[in-house]
Amino acid sequence: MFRALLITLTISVLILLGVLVYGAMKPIVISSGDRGQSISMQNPGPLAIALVNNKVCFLYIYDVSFSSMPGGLQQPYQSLSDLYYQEIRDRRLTFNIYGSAVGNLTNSSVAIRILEVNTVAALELQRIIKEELDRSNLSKYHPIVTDEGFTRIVGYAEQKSLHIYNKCNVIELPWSRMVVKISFPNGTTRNFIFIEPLFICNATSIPQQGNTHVVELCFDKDLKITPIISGNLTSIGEVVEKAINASRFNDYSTLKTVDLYLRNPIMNIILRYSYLLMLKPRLEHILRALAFLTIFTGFTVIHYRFRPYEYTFIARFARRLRQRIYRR
Amino acid sequence: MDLRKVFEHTTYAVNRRLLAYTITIIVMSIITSLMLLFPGYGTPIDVWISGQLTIVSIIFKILIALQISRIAREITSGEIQLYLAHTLTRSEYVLSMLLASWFTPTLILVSSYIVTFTIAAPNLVISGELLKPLIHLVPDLLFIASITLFFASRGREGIATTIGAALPILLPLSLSIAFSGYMNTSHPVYTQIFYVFTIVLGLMTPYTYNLLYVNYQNISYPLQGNLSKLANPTLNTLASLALSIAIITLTFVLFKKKDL
Repeated sequence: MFRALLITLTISVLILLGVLVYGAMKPIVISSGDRGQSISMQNPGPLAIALVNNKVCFLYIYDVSFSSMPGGLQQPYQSLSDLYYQEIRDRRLTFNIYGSAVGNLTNSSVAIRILEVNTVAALELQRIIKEELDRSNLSKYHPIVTDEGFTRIVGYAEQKSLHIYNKCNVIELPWSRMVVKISFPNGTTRNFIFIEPLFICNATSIPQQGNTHVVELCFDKDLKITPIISGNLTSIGEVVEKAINASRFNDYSTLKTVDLYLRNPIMNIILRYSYLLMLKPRLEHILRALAFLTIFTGFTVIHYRFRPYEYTFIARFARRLRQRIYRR
Repeated sequence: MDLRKVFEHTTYAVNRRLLAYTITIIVMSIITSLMLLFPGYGTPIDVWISGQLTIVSIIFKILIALQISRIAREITSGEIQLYLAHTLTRSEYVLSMLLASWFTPTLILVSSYIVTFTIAAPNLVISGELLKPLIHLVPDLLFIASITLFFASRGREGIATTIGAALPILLPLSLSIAFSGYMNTSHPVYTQIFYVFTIVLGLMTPYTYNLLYVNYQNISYPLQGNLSKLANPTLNTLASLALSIAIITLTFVLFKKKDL
């Protein structure tokens, strides 16, 4: 009984050891592919908003390494075994700015700059933003700062930036056709067709692990835009002015309206990355297998010492092998 | 009962079956290695383990059934007379055959499983995640062994082999159908019929019962309330264990009276 147990366990460990050694020499790819995930725009929202010359600028900070960057394994693999190793490659952070606008759209109507800074600079930047917000005191509800303050904040980010990505070409999409069903009090319903021009502007950065992204998004002050969720068509500069005045006079009705524009930005962020999931055994796995192999072999030797007659098949096998070799 | 004699005869019987056990463990190790290579993206651990263990358990159940049914051959061929003439009593013979054909493969399966995962994923062994399905698997294997032993000890090799080879596949399949029927039917008569089938078949394969119970527990179902009327998997496993022990006791009693 013990012989059967020891022999079968030894075989089992040997097969596993074979797979582990093979995997250690040449990692076995289990799956690979591309994935995309949206990063929340609401949290964090814009950290600073300002009227700078003829533009309205929003400033965001995305600490992708902490918030949404997939750095480790997916949960099932992480808890299954440390045999698995996931490699994330070709990270791309794409900012899609889109919305409907009225007026002549040019490449200067919408501009985006992504500045990549390290964590220390990002912390300092947040302190500067707080300082400017306190100094400006323009709104109790929205992070609106003065143009000098905004220039100071962006200036610091520029000074500390490791990379700046500013390629953003506005693409005017064909007229969008929107069908809205409206019900009337008399019970009838009618379909109304609204036609609006759409624009889209993409900017992509390739983030490095551990770094933070400072995103500066500027619109022409007179650009009339509609937020994606709801709201009326109005110029973006007007929205900021309304926000400042409404805060001063505690006009909550106006505040509620402008909040849609200031908190529901007309962009989304998508993180795209390619991954590679591998079975990559480490030295400790192989050492564990070798330890078990040693234990089972040791016990087999001890068992042989006590009950050698159970192992006559080995001698018989060796004899037959010898005979075959001798005959040849 | 002389336990030393039982042990010696068990060792003798196991050594005669060594080739079958070795082939089975090679197949099992290959399956385990393949499962490590293809864990299935996003599969939860318990599902991953149960999938692997279900395949392995079917193979071991068939192995156990085929090995136990050899008793019938020994009875019909008269080989048993050699063992019973001087060395063993009838009870010692049946016990040693049970140890050789059920206990040893079960021990091999359980220990090989634990060793494999201690090497590959020790956190699963430490957390006890791996041991949970094994608790239900051992009585499952015992039930197949007891049924096969009953027919084999009556000298019915054909029935023992057929039942032993068919039950490991038919029981989980039938239980899945019955369980699904019970969880999806609101008609009182059909629900009652499926309930009886689920309980009876659950006793025969506690491992599958536990698997289905946990799976239905984890998903939200319109008739989720039906699940609470079924026996708890642990209770079902204990009942199955009691049933197996009863069948084995009956086998011992009848074998003592059998005219060889």
